[in-house]
Amino acid sequence: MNDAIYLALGTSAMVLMMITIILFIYLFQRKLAAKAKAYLEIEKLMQQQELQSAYALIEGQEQERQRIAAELHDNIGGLLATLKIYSDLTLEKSEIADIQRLNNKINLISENLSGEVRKLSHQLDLRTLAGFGFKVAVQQLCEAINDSGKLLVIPVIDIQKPINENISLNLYRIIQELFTNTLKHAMATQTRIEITLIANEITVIYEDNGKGFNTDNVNFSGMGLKNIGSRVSMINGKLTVDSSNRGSTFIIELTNHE
Amino acid sequence: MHSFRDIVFTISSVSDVSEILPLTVWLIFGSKKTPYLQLGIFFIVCFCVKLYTLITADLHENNMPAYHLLALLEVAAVYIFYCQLLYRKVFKWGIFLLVMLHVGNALFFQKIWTFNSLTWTLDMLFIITLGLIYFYHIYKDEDDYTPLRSRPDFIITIGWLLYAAGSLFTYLMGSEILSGYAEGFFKNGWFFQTISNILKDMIISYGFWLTNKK
Repeated sequence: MNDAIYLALGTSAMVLMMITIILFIYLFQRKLAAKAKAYLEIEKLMQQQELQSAYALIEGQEQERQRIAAELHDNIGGLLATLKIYSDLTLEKSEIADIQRLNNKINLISENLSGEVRKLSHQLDLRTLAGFGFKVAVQQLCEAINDSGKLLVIPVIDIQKPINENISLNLYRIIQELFTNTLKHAMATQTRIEITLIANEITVIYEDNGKGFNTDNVNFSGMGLKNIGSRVSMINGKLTVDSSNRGSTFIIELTNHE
Repeated sequence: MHSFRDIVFTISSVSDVSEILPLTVWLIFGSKKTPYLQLGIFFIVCFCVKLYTLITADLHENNMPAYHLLALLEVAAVYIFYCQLLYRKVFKWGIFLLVMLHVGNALFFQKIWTFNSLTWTLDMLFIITLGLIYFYHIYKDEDDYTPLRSRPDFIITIGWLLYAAGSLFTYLMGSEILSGYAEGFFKNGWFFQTISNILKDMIISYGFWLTNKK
């Protein structure tokens, strides 16, 4: 074979291979770029969705604030104004009988006022539950406790479908009570709450690292435990309590919650 | 002044010992796991065989059997490397076919004391095919988006492809080049092979170094 042809073939083989490699690198990079672009678009869409959700949440919160303001002004404000009038009158009167009568009125209005405040607070909880669901309500509760800085709450909530309104309200109250107990009595620094819903079976596991209590002596009579026990019975659940000087564990199990 | 022939012989000698580079890098930095382990072992054996060919060439002894062995070892090592890389297992029938091809060539076509240009050429074509299959495989892989610069396998493949492409026509004309008296540029056909071999060893060394960073 002619040497020149050999040289041409040898050179062209290497050049051709280099072109092939460069072409491959170009195609691969183009594929990577296309993938990166697709990811960016997905991320952008997700951000837009998150923004929309955030706007909806803010709007909802604004409406709720307006409603609370109206409630405070119209109802509780009115009761407080009446209370002030009766209080002023009490100061003016000198007759014991009049003072007694006015005091009775003040007592009645105070009771009403207390009831109204409780009702408003109860409605607020219910609205969170009804509006955003049990999962969000518990998450908000955990966030609020975390924000207080008094206790570190680690929530693990795996609920993929809505829970019956009555059960969710009772569970929410139980969780509130458990947090209250931990904050008031346990001297704990950390709690972990795990809520799972698997095949109609709800399990709530609440653990804290507090000083614990004697489960034999308590017998659900104090520390709000009676309240927790009755609420668990109300929703046909099973409560297991375990406590030592390293912390307490509450397990609430609800089979076939529907 | 040195003639071009001397330069080519010098580069050729450098090429023969250039396996020391990937070998050293693999021993110090390279991964000792499959498939790099087998490739590293190949470079140890390859270096020993090439050293033997250099010594025997200096003693004016016929060292062609060593090239027959080297051709088989090289293609088998590359085959095993890509089998493990792409399929996580080695197809033994592939090794058997490669052995049969080399033994058959040595028995019936190009005897053991002559240069086995035919098998070297087929080996180069086979290596190019394996490299291109690997390219296709990583291009089609929708799960792995590792950048090419971070893939030691890709770097090693570039080394093998450039080497195979550069050596292909040298080997095809191997008998003619070796039988003729090497003088002038066109008679020094090993130039392409030696350059591509040095290039391959440098690139594979970088690939071995990357295996540690993977």
